Amino acid sequence: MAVWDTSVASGLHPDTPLYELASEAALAQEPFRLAAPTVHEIAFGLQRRAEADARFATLLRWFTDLLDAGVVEVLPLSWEAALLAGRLRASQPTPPTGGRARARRSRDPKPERRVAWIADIQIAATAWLAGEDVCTADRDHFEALSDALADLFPGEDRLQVLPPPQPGPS
Amino acid sequence: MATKPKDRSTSAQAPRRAGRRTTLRVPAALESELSLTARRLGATENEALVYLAQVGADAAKRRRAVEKVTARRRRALVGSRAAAAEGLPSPEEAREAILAERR
Repeated sequence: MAVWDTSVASGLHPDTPLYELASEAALAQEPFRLAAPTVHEIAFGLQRRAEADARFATLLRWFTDLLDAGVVEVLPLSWEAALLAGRLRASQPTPPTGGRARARRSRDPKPERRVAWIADIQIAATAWLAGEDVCTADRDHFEALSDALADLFPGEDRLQVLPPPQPGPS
Repeated sequence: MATKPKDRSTSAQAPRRAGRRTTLRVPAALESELSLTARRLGATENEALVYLAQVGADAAKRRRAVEKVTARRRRALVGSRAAAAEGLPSPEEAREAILAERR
């Protein structure tokens, strides 16, 4: 099963077809996977809204239960992934600004976007080391990282970048 | 007994110690570590075995203590049921909150 990046996993919600898809996959003993940095981003996004709006605390509670029940599997950021992520970040310090050209990097992205870019690097490193593809709506980011991985390890298979899953009508 | 009958090269005398006497078989996998430890301590292999058992017991005690702490902290993180009364944000609101920094 592919690794869902944050752009995809942010759609996990009790009322979405994506959650049904995840539940069915888990019942079939083939849970979808999240990389640990995606869990970080989701928890951060919900927690920082939770104080002002308790509904986000409830959703964070639901998400925590989802993880605890193993509905999605979380790939930890291993030392190997951290090592690889550091090397990738050195070769791609900033996210691409658009299109697929890896030379087109934004020179001075907002700090928040840099944080998101580092998360994407860690997700790509984790997925690639686990031999998994990545499902993402941020195709530009992960295509650039797939190129960077191919440059670092030309003898290995590329990181495959897939579109977000399309749950069937429920 | 821990002392191998054919190898009497370790001549150090084991100090008398209080405690329960026992007889045991030393697993083959431990033999080299046991010999090495006895040489390094200048002690008999029986003494080295007691030393290694103490090292192992200390490690087990530390591991139990760490497991207790990690279990308690995991319960604090995952097991809390404090906030559950409110409704949920819509999927769109949730997505916006999570991806806000990516915009």
